[in-house]
Amino acid sequence: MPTLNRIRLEAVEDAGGGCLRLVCAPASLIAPMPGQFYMVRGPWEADPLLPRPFSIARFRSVKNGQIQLEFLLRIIGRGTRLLGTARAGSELDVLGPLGIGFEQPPGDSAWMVAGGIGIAPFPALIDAIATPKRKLSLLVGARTEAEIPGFNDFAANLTGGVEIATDDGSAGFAGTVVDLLASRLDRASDQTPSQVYVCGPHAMMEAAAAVCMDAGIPCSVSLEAPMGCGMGTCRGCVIRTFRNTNFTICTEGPVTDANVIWSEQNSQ
Amino acid sequence: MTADLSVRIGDLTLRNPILTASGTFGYAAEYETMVDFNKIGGIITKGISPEPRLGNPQPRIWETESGLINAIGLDNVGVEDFEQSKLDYLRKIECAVIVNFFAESAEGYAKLARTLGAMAGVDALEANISCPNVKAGGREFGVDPVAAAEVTIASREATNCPLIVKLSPDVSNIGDIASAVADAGADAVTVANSMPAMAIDIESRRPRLSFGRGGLTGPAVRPIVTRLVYESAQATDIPVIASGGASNWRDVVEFLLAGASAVQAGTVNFVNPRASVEMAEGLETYCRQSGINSLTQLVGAVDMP
Repeated sequence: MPTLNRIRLEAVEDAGGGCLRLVCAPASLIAPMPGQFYMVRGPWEADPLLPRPFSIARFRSVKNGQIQLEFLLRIIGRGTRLLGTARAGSELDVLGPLGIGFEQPPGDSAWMVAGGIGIAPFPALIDAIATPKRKLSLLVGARTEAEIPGFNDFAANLTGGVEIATDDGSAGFAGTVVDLLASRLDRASDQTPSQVYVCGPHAMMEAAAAVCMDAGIPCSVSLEAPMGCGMGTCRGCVIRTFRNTNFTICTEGPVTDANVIWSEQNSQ
Repeated sequence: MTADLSVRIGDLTLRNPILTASGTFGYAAEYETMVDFNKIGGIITKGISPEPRLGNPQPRIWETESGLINAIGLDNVGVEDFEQSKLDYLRKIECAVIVNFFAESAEGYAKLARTLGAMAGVDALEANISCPNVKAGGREFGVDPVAAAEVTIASREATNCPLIVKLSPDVSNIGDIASAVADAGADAVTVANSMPAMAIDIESRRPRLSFGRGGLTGPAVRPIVTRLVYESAQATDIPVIASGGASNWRDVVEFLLAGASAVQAGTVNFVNPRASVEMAEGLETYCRQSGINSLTQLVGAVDMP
């Protein structure tokens, strides 16, 4: 059940790879589920107009049942520039938690596949699904090494390891993170993950979903499209599924099974 | 003493002049936990068509300076599913329920007006006439006084439900259209629909929206709509409902002074879902502090040179 709250920004930190971390002050909020999102806006006038959707990157329950939210962003336009250059102590309007988040993996091994800033929802997911027994891996890709977001602050629970892919080969695997996923699945026949979680650009998620479908591995994706309201009313983020039905990302997603959106037949 | 903020639209009395604009408030249930429907005059649903519509492919929205261009493509559940899955909730809420609707022909408007107007819980209808007239080669009904009057008469004859006609802003003389639909039996006009607009990605040289063109809404259009409201109110005696960029109670007062009897909160719902309630509360405070007992003291009270 979403609420609209004005909260204080506690810090804006460098999150590596050209990304910033917005750390909010603890506030009386409803605890989100990993993979849910918030519509975030500063208390400025009419320009930029709309709030921007951000996955919950991490959250903590602190004293008195208060919740501390963290968002990860990359400055790509006027909205993200104003948020990314906001000073500690300034205020943010946050509407949320919104949408449907991630589910627990069905087994003891899960991989997270991130395209650039698509790493955003994974720290919260890892916090929620890590157990001593579970082997969690992160595959993260970007165009070049300088654009790989940081992961050290949540790497402790990544017992299955972290692998990097860069399009230009400047670090780790040379190629896309989807190529890395495919090659790792080829290598890992004896330890196939029970679930793959993917977040990144739309085409990257579609390609990753096809790889998972071919391998018969459950794949959930965190979808994105321009959003106006986050509440299902503006119809801005609606995409068409392979069944020629509408899927409203903000209320039916953003997280969904890949086979809701893309056909297994088309994955070849 | 509290001011009388009530407004009459045909036989319908609104508690206050604040409505939520079609397409910005879903079917109301979406905002149940955030908006006290007792505090606003009414809600206007997403536009309903005879059949469900999927709408346009991505991208459907693009933000510009203080504005939003959309080409959603009239994505809606259709009249049958509206009655089955949306109306029960709308019957429970206290404010007026106004159903926006559209069709492709005058006969289509009549049929839908008859069906919707007969549904218990529907307090008024708002006809969207900024839609392609299939018989006229896709030209909008709303840009021609004759076609606008034709769909108004067809809808009017089909139902006794209070009928609001939502005008297109893309006309050279909106007063002509307003008076044509008033003569044709409309109880009120909404001024106006979104402004035809376009944005282009200079890298790809393609439009920002899959449909190419779209409709601009939000604070960017408000001064244009203020002028359209003024001209419409000058041209007709039926109530004018302002729709276009109002974001706070000051904007509401400005629209009232221009001649509006009621004001819709639209794109601002995306920025702040509680905006409609805040506008109603702000207007009440303003009236109390300014010694205004009735909205009639404000409506059309602009002191033109």
